[in-house]
Amino acid sequence: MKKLMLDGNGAAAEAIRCSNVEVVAMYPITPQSPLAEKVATMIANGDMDATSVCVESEHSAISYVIGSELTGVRSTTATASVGLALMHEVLGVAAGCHVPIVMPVVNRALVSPWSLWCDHQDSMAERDTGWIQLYAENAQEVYDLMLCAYRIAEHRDVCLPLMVCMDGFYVSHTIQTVLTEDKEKVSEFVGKYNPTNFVLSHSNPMFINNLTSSDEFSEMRFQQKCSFENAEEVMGSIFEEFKDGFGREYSVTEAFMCEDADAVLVGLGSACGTMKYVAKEMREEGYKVGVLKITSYRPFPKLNVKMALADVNKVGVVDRSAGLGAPMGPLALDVTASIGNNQNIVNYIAGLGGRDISEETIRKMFIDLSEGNSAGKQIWIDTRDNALDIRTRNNINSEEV
Amino acid sequence: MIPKKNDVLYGPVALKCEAIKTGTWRIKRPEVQDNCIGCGQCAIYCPCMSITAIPKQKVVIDYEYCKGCGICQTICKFEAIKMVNEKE
Repeated sequence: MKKLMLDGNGAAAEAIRCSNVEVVAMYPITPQSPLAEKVATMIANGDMDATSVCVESEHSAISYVIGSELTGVRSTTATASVGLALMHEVLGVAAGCHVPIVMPVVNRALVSPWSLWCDHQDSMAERDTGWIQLYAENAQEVYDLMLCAYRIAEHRDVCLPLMVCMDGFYVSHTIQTVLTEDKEKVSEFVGKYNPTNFVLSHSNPMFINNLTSSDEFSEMRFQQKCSFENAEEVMGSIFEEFKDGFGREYSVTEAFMCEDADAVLVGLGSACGTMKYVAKEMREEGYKVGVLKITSYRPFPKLNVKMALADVNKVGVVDRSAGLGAPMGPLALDVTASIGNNQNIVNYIAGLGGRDISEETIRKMFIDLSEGNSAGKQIWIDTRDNALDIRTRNNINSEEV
Repeated sequence: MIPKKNDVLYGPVALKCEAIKTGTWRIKRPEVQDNCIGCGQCAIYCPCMSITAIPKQKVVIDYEYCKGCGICQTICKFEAIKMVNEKE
């Protein structure tokens, strides 16, 4: 075991270096750029035996990676925000053709307004494309989930592409101690890529992704649905194996101080770390609060969520994306559908476009939740009172107009 | 869990080149009448190449691929093709 000082991008790059990846096609975009640069440097220095391909866009990057993965070579890319949005069309191809690509996604807000900072709207916009989505809380989780991700995605009973999501800057650029293993041990755990579905070869030609009529379309979707159902079970066994080999424990959800809790906040990603810290502090002050962290957002761990929240009176769901026009934010919709009763659920919209979900913000949410005044509502926490009057026409100098 | 079978490929794939059986799209079916002389005009105009003409015999329509567009009926000088509802 080796302790390294890494940020989230570095942890992902280190995981890619040791996982027998042979083709890399990454198009740089903030806040993923350091990851693309690190992997390119590793290849240039000979630390990684792979081919780095210079592509002209994210659309090309994912297309290239699908093609090379279909020839039986483990391939990877990574992206963020509008880059992920540009991949949208091709993400469906990877999913529908069961191409098990593992892709780190560094979460950043989508336009408009232009923003470079953390927000989950980019990956939430892709939640229905048929990719597994795991959310990492910190750089250590990025490293560990990446290693598990290859095993989960490439498992014969799953065979689905997978995104490992990390919060832009909060995780991607925050340096921390990460426990890493040497290449041999990681390589042994991840294994060589062994394609189990489509393979492009001269000796056994096949026409992949052909036009499919309504006669078979539903059946193809049904196959994907079954893969998602299998994924949850496979994830459990891979996490178990990871624990035996590396000593760190993972699960599709993490319930923190939920057993006797009166109020629980549900969340994704880096904010959960702060939430757990605040919950611990507030427990000492006598508040019965807890945190439920969702690691696997797709497939959504319906039963785990239901069990963890079974005896909780007040449930608050923190969404880091607005879910415009929907009754609630995307995570809150899933939690509501899982526990089957939304009368007590409070949906907090927080941390948009890089706004910090600070200790005070979380404390405010816990207290608001405990008091029960917002039951059934959506609360835009920390949003300024003058939100609708930020720019008035009087600001314009009349002489210049 | 439903384990995947080893002998099955999952997702859209064609292992041999084969056109979609477009015959299932048909709402009306062209039926060749007895007065057909086998001139083959309909076979020339058929956009799906679903008609085979043999001189002095009735033309033969391949209903697996015929979409029922009705061009054959329009083109026939002898009114030897009738469009019939598929349901009938």
